[in-house]
Amino acid sequence: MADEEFVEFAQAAAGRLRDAAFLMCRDWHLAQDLTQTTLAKVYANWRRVRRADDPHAYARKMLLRCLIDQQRRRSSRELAMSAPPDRGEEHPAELRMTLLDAVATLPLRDRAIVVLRYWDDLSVETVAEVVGVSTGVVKSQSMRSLNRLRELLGESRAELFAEERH
Amino acid sequence: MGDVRGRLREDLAQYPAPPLGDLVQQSMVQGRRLRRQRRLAQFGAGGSALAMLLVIGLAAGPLGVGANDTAEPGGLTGGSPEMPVGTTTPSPVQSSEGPPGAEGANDNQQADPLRAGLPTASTRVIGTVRIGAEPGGKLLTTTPEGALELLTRLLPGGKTSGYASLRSGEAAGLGMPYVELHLDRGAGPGMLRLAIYQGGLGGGPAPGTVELTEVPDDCVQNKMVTVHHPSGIQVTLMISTCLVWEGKGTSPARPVLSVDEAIEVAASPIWGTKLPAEFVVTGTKRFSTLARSNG
Repeated sequence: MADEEFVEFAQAAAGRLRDAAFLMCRDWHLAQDLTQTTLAKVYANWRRVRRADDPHAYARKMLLRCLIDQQRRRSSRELAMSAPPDRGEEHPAELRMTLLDAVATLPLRDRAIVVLRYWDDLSVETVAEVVGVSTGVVKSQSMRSLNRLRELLGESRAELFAEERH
Repeated sequence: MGDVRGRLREDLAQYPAPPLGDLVQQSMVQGRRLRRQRRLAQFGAGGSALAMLLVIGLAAGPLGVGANDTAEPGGLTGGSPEMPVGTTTPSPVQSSEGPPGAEGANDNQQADPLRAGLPTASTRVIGTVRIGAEPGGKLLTTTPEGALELLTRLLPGGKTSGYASLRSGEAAGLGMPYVELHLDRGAGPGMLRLAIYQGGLGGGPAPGTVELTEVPDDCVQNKMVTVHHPSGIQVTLMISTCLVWEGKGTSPARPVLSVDEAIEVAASPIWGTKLPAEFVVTGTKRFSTLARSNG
């Protein structure tokens, strides 16, 4: 049954989709909403999606579109933020910039490329398909983004990405 | 590459994810709604096309009489351009839409064998309340801050904290206030969420109707009290049995409101898409770090 297949797919994909969404937006509530909306769109098109070569890539594409839509609305609509004034210290001790912080400074498309390529471990070709750019753009933006991350994180962490230089 | 992923994984571990809850189930509910809207839109387009054909047919009829050799576009457009071509197009708005929490519950009324193994929700009308007179004076669009301000004033005594503004689902009143807080009445904090939703078309329950949705498998939306207000406004107060905090994970918590208390809060006539200015202004100051203005 198609619905059963979707549930199986969604249960397998939801966690990773939400993690990827969080890495791109850094808000679990928003990530949860984006994931739900993504899966809703996948479900609405399930007959077509299930026949696709890679339904997971399709879902990631939908997630990215949802995030882009959300960013577009952001300027004119309230954005989810949860920064309660009296809920205590949320980020103790760790004052230095993390890679997550650094990724957050990248433009959305570059952030997506970094997350899809290095977190989701997708091929350059698949990332290009998901983001809607050429493979050349994925490669060049990956390099630029990693350089930028190196700068932001400082020399001490440069070695972390040494293997990405070539 | 591995180092980037490893570092991201380390960073991600600093922000424990809340439980997925009934996300998959809710996505199916939302997906069904998208399908319905798409079907209606297609039907609407088809209906408009059919109406157009009827108009053309009606116009062609009289023109055709005694004018067999003039059946050309110019002649047809001279017929009745003011015909109500679009009047057969139904609105794509769904009357069954509800607030973020209740939407799944509504759809759960439909038989669905798929739900086996997924969180199950049941919604029932548990009574009616008298909704008082709407507030007068200057009103401003309800913001999450304003909603939190009013909520904290309506709740029974206790210490509130953990304020957050959430985004409602895409098809469930996106942009409508959806807020969260913790209330501690002396026995430890419990979490509450409140959503305001304005339905589309009429036909919903009468103002004053109170519905209770119970989702035993969902600690966040464990019990949801929805009070239907005039003008299609629905106010849903969710009583959680856990705390969800990004960065702190999830922990069990006692429900901090009884259903009756939740009804009292959700039935306040002050709730609406607009609030008395005082709540919005005070809320903006009090929860200044919460979110930007709705504009």
